[in-house]
Amino acid sequence: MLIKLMKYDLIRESRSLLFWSLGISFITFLLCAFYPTIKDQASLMDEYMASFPPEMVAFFGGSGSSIATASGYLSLELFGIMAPAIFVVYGCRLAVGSIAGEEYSRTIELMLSLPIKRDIFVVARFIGIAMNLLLLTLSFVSALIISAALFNMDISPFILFQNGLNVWMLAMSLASLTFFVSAARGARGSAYAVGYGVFLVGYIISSLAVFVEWLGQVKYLSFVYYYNGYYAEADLNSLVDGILVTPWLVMSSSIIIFFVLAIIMFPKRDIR
Amino acid sequence: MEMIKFDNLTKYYGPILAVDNVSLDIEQGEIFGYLGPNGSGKTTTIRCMMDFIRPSSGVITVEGKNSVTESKFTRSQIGYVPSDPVFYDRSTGDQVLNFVDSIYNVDSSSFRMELSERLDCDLSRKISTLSRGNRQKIALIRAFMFKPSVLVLDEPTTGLDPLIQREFNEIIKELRENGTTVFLSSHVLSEVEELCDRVGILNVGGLVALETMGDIKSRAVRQIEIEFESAPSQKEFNDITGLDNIVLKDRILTADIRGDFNGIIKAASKYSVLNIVTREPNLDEIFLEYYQGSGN
Repeated sequence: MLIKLMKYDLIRESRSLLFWSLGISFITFLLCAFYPTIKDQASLMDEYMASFPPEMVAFFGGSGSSIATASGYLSLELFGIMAPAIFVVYGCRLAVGSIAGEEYSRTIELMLSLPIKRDIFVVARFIGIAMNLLLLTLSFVSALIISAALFNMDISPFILFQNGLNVWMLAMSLASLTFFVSAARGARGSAYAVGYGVFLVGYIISSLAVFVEWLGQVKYLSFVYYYNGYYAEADLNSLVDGILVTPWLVMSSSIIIFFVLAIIMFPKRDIR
Repeated sequence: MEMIKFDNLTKYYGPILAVDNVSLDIEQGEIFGYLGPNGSGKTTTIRCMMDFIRPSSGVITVEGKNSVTESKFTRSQIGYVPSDPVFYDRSTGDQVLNFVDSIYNVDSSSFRMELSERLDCDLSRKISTLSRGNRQKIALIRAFMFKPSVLVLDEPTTGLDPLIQREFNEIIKELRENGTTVFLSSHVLSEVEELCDRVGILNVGGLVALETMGDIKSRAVRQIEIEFESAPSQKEFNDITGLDNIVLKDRILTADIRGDFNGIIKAASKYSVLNIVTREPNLDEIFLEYYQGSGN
């Protein structure tokens, strides 16, 4: 039953996934294509970056590495805000659409009139979100590895793969939270507000926590902190030093918790 | 055999009472009409039966199984048509029905083809390109194609043209002959009259009537017109039970009659009768009486 549901959902979502994959691959290619120009003017670019306050550079995902290096450039231009934002939007859209969105459009009624247990339905939809995000990640990472090779970016494909998965993990964390709200309440507005709100607030907190003392404890509630803030605090760059286990453990635990809560909550309530 | 049983079903939406203590039994092979004005609780009852929403109190059983605790089983027995079916727009009719087949582990392709021909439905087109009526046809095929033991139909003929409505009636009768029990919520009284064995009438969430169609028809007001050879005495007709609005004009007597014709036929037989015309009972009026809360 689970496989049948997942297969049906994946086929339905395939066209949308294709367009998103093409879109993010194209953006990635364009950004990488611009890198040789930046590299050629390394000293000028570093001077230019130094003219900004460090808070501002941190806010836009700057890693402390020179922008003329592949890792510094990708941190600032791609992994800082662009890729996380695209993946979070895609993940939250799927999470809202899979339950609350279907209640709004009323397609869920015919689906649940079939002999499908509600918890199985939740599991299928959740795995569908994870799979879709993973396929988007693979497209993104493939485009990134190919573009990096084409434009002579000195960075290991394995590091790029790891960082791609890091984006997936962030998007999954927020999609899981959104999915839980979607499953527990069936309201699209609430689910979108929680998903995007937590991402935006978390992004601001994580970016500014280094400079604003009173944000010191709150940052632990931000998924973005575990995505890149944790590394910045330890004076690391995930595009140089690779991915650490601790932040992934926190994010994967959150994913599991929200997933289990969704399985518990959805079968208990009335469909809207 | 009792196929569907409602036992004191009550449903609140917050403080609003939507269904009030409804109890009824529906036998196997019965076509049961569930009637009521908008907002009377018909769809809420059906949504409880399908386990989309949970009763505030009371129990629904389908084939003896609880619709909440054993909902996977009860839903496996039910072919369901909602009042306004919404499918995934990008799917074709065939894709929708193939998925249903895969869930039930059956191959209904031959019966599905027969149904699509009878209902004049093109299953190869994308749902987004279909009219309301054609989407309704897909919902009907989806419900009929695995020959369920129970059909739950919520305003199933909305958007269908008269020819297809007639075909729908025929299919329902055939399925009933094979033992399918039908729970039909409808506003189309001609459809209810043609198909249903029994009706339950709902008003403000409560069941205000539960009767066979025969009983309802026998209580319906019919009009009778008798043409005599020579004018009779109206006094002969004034005291007949069930006769109202008696008008004698020249040689023609008209009256509204409720119940049987024995009294009026006996009185008329004292005179030479040239012609008798009766009008079919007006069920709308009876239902309206119940809808307005004045039925008895």
